[in-house]
Order: sequence, then structure tokens, then C-alpha cells
Amino acid sequence: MNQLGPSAGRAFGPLLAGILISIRSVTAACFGLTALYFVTVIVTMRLPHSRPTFVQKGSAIQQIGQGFGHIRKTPVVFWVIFLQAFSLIFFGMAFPVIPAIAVEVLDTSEVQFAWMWGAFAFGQAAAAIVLAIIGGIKRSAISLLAAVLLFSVFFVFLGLTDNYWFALVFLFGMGAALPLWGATLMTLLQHFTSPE
Amino acid sequence: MSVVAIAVQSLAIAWLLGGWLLDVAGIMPTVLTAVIGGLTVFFIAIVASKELRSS
Repeated sequence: MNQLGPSAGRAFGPLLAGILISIRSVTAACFGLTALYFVTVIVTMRLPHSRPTFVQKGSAIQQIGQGFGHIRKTPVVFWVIFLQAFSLIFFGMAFPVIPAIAVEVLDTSEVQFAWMWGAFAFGQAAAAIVLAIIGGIKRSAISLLAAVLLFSVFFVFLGLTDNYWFALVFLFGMGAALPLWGATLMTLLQHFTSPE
Repeated sequence: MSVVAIAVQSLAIAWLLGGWLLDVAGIMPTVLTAVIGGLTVFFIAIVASKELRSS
């Protein structure tokens, strides 16, 4: 569910915006977004009041200090955070590259560009469903290796292609790598850290 | 979780670095930098951490 919600948003958000831009204008898409925010605020305000089951003590700075203290004593957590931070710096470069490929190489329309993000998100959702069905991959290291290889291979192919339909397939593959990566890192963090 | 939240902010650096590389080098060099850099980070962590390797 943690992977499906955001991926559904990433699929339908750009798609609706692309359709609005192509049939009306950018202004219509911005107004649509404002209307959506308004609905979100109303829905959030109507949510029933809930108390958090666990309240962290101390200020945010103290919590960060405690977090760094825990990382110093638990090397595996340091390496998981290292992976999360530094791999994201490199693999995250895909996000500015995708619009550049759409404009400079594929010369897409607004809706076609929206479908590119849609393919990425559908890949993410499909992998999340498959992982949920098979119950995840038992070896975290294998899951992480599969994720980086899947993402890297499809990203290189995306950089090489000038065919729109192939690009959609490669984006689907790149998206499929995200749940493997994200779910495994979160599982490792939960496994090696205590709630406090 | 506070430290994890800080780590996730590296995505902003990815946008900046990716955008800058696209301007100065082009699409394919940016793709290769991202892939080689990401794989290097992954293998550094896997080689350095026995627990991560055996997890």
C-alpha cells in the first residue's frame, strides 16, 4: 500500500494534467490542481481525530542527535542511510533526464509526456503488487542488487532510444525497480532500529 | 526517522546535479553518470557492510 498510493498518484496526476493542458491550457491545469488541493483540505479536516500510539520525546534537534548516536553504534544502519542518501543523488538524476528526453529526443505532446510518467508509475504499482503476492524477496541484498541492475539497464536503454513506445517500456522497467529498492531499505531500517 | 528524512532530501541535490549535467554535458553523459555513480555507491555499501551483504 505504501508503494501503490504514491504510484497511483504519479500515474493519474500527470495524465490528468496532460489531458487538461492539451484540451484547454496550462491555466486550466493549475486551476484543476487548486480545486484538487481544496478538496484535499476539506477531506483532511473531516478526518476523525486520532491520537498517535507513540509520542517521541525531546525536540527535533535532540531526535536527530539521538538518531546519529544510534547510527554510530549500529554500522548497518549507517550503510542503509548511506545507500538511501547517496544512491538517490545519482539515480535521482533520472527525474530531470526524463523531461529532457521527452522534449529533446522524443518531441512528445503533453499527453504523451504524461503517459511517460504514467508508465513509470504503472511499473512501480505492478512491481508492488507482485511483491505483495509473492510476499517479498527474503534476501535483502539480492532485492537491492536486482533493483539497481533493473533500474540501471532500463535507464541506459532509455537514454539510447529515440522511439516513444520503447521509452514507455523502459520507463515501466525503471518504475518496477523502485518498490524492490524502497520496500527493502525500509524493511532493513525497521529491522535494525528500535521504535524509540 | 528524522535522520532518514534528512537523507531523503538528497533527491533535491539529484535534481540540481542532473539539471546542471544536462546543460553542460547532455543526456547520455548524465544517464551514464547517474548509473555508474549509483552502482558505485551500491557496491561500496555492499562491500563495506557484512551485515548488509548477508541480510
